[in-house]
Amino acid sequence: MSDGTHERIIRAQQGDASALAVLLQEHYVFLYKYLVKATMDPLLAEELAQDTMVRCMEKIGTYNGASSFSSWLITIATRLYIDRKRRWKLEMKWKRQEEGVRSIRWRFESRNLEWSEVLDALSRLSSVQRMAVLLKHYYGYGYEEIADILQIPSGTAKSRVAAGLNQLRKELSEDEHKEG
Amino acid sequence: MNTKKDEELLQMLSADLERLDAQYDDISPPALPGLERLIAEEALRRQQQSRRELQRFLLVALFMVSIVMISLGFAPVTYWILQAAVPIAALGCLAVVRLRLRREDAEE
Repeated sequence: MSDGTHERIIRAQQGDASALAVLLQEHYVFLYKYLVKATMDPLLAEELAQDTMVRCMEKIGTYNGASSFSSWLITIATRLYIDRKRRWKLEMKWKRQEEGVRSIRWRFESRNLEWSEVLDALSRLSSVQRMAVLLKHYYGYGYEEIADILQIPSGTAKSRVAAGLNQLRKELSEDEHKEG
Repeated sequence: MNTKKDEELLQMLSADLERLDAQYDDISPPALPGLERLIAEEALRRQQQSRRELQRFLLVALFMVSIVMISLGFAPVTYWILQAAVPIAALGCLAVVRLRLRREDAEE
């Protein structure tokens, strides 16, 4: 964590609204990009990024520096996403997920970029497996940290990562067979 | 488990996720004045909410205290019986638990 960020955190904890605003602005893009990958739904990612910022405003006093500020934001955002998913009905969830993937796909296609099979397979993973795979293999967190972020035992984090990778492998080999 | 295939899969995954990240490089974070306004509004909302919660707590506390005072005024005997009954019942339960534990120890 840079000295500037550390200083801003301290000032924000002392009630300095401008320091908090700068801190949130600095981390917004990182947070949003994490949420796009975790949810595979840019609109939902935007909503959750806003909710995370509001939660961060409430809880900034409780941040103790045990993890980096960005990890703390990821933890808040992930828990908000899990809470929201619990409230959704199954049908709504699928409808929303489809719309989200279509939106990302459109972004690729509108820039003449090829849509990837790996991302397609990733979007079809259950959100709990997708988040575990993402945190482990993209953000490089350890199983203990993932367990803490997702509020699950570390054994479960490990099995979710393994199951997610297995599922990805299976989906990709099925696609290869179809093409072959 | 095929480690080489796993490594390939992870490399592909990282490369594609980076490509996905790159698609959102052009998003702009919210403007500072907007964020400052949001923080101020949020602080005000929380202040009002905690004030409402305190008021609700005081109302409920007042209601309960008035019930106690009324029962003390109109039926003091019942009031004191009830006051005595609760600790006596708690002590009774504690004694029963202790006796049971002692009996189990003796049987062992």
